[in-house]
Amino acid sequence: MKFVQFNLSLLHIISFLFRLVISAFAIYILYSNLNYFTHYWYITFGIVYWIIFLLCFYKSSKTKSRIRFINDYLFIMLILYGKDYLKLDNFFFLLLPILNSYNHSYVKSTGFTLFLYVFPICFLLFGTNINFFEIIIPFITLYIINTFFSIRKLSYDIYDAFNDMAEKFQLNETQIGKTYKLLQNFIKIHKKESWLNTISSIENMICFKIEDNKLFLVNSNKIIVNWRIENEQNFINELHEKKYIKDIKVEIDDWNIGYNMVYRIKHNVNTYCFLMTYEKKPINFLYSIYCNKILFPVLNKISKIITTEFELAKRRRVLYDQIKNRLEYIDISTSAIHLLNNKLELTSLYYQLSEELKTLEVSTEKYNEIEALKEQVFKDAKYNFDIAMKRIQKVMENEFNPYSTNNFESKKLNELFIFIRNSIQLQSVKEINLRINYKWQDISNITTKINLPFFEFIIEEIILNVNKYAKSQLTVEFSKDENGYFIMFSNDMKTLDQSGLISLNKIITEFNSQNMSEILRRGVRGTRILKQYLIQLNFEHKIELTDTYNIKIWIKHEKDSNF
Amino acid sequence: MKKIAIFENDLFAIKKTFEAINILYFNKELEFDFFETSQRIGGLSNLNNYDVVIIDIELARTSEMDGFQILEKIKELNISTANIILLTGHNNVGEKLKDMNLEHIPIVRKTIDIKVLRDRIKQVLNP
Repeated sequence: MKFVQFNLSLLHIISFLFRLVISAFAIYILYSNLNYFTHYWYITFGIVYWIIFLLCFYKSSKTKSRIRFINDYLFIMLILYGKDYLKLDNFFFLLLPILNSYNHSYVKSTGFTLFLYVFPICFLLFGTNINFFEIIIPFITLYIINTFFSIRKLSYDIYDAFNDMAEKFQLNETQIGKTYKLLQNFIKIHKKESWLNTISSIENMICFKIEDNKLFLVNSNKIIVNWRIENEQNFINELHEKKYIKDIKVEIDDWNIGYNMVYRIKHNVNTYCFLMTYEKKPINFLYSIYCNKILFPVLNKISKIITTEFELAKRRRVLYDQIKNRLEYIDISTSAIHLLNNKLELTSLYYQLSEELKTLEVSTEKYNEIEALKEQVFKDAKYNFDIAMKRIQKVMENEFNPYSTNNFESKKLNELFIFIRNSIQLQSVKEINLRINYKWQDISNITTKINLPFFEFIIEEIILNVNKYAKSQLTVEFSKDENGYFIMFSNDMKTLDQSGLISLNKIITEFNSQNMSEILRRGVRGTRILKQYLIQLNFEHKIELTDTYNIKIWIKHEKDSNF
Repeated sequence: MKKIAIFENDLFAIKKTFEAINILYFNKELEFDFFETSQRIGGLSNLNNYDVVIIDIELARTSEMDGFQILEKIKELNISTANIILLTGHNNVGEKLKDMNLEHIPIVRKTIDIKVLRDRIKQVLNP
């Protein structure tokens, strides 16, 4: 009974329920009609029917779905055999597979759909006195109506398949920058459905972006080296007015382009156009349905993904520039240190000569010679010292220093809350509770000036510090007191031994001290840097040790601050 | 007179150091030739004419070779490396010399301690 363990999808459940319905209907038919076979035979038919069905139930394949379909009809025919097929309930029993065809996986099999109708037609043709046309015409009508439903369902299925693929694509980080794969996969999905390929035999898809009235190639399903659109300017102007243009004159590498369509898709401020080339001329009537139900939603989705990728690329660029600035700064600093080393050579020589003259026993002539040289070294050393100092000042100037804490930006308090929430989520520390003790609306209009990278550093350092003394929990609380808005980081203090408590109290005293030079001289490295940045960023701060260990930082909102 | 070749880009900073050790410790018996670039010497085989060769790792930007490249070239030309002293402000030069199988070359760090420089030169001159 392996099937019980199967992960039943909705289709599986419907398929199973449908067989239950057939079985229940069969029992009703057997009770409401005179039967041709004995009860034992019908029980045997039922058992065989279910065994075959269950064997073909899991891991659907084309063959298995066809077996299921034939199994259904054989069972129905055996139940109905020898009965009046034209009796209303019996007739409905015969039509059950057709009525359920919307849910059948086998209706997607091209050509096989017809068999759905062939079985009952043959059954009626050979089992009743009704003439051929009386049977065939209602069934053809039913077939046509069912086909419409099938097309609609398949349209949704194709869009769903694409959507599913696009979502997986977006979630997979390794796919970043590979949106051409979306185009390739859409064409693949397209080619898989032969009826779809008949309507619209897409061969290639190329995506352009319209920017400053110019076309830029974004991506395509195949690599493109050269491309040219005849009267590009006119084409762009026309595209601004129309949603699509048919059969434009375009040259792409050595491609042989026949039928083609260009669609304009707008997403936010971005305008894209998709050029599709076709093997055959698209079928006009069905093509517009296809466009609305499949193509446009898909192109919209692709445009959204491309826009997101553009935005990501822009952010990466900003990040890269920041890293570049920092590397340049490190490089400037390193070369400055080397230069200082060289420039201080003469100063060092001057002192060494002075020392040597004191200790070495040399002739007066040599002494005078060294003294004269020392004088020259002194002058040259002074000159070099001035150069060195200028270089030091240049390195120290804030405008060249990407690590400067002087780059402030205005941030709303609620933005800071979100920033801290995101920041603490990335920290691999104990359980963190986040609380806010004032109304969200109250802080949505209050701004503070802050240097975000350094603020993030401060938050990380504080959390690491509070975490160090925590038993199992950390709390980050946004509150307000008479001194203004503050953020409090606290913990459920773990038990410390006597020496641990003494050193913690020492850290707290140093941290809360106003004597910065004392802290810089003696403080523990982590707290010292933290304190230094808190002062530079103008945060009032305090550590309290009660039942809990709390670090509080007060945020000055703009009207209070000295910025 | 002992001839010493010095490859160095900042002659202004270094020249007086050598003048000083010459007067202080060598009774002006040393004769210096300074080269800001590798090509200034006019072919590295000319190094055979010197008793001591002092090479700074960083040379002028116009130099075709830096200090390490000069050492590579010296090895390639089978010129003796026994009389070479390396001058540098960098810390990790020893590792690099090891990679080049030239760990026997003495290193003098900047800023130069004149007594260390004196000892190294004496060591090379009187092995």
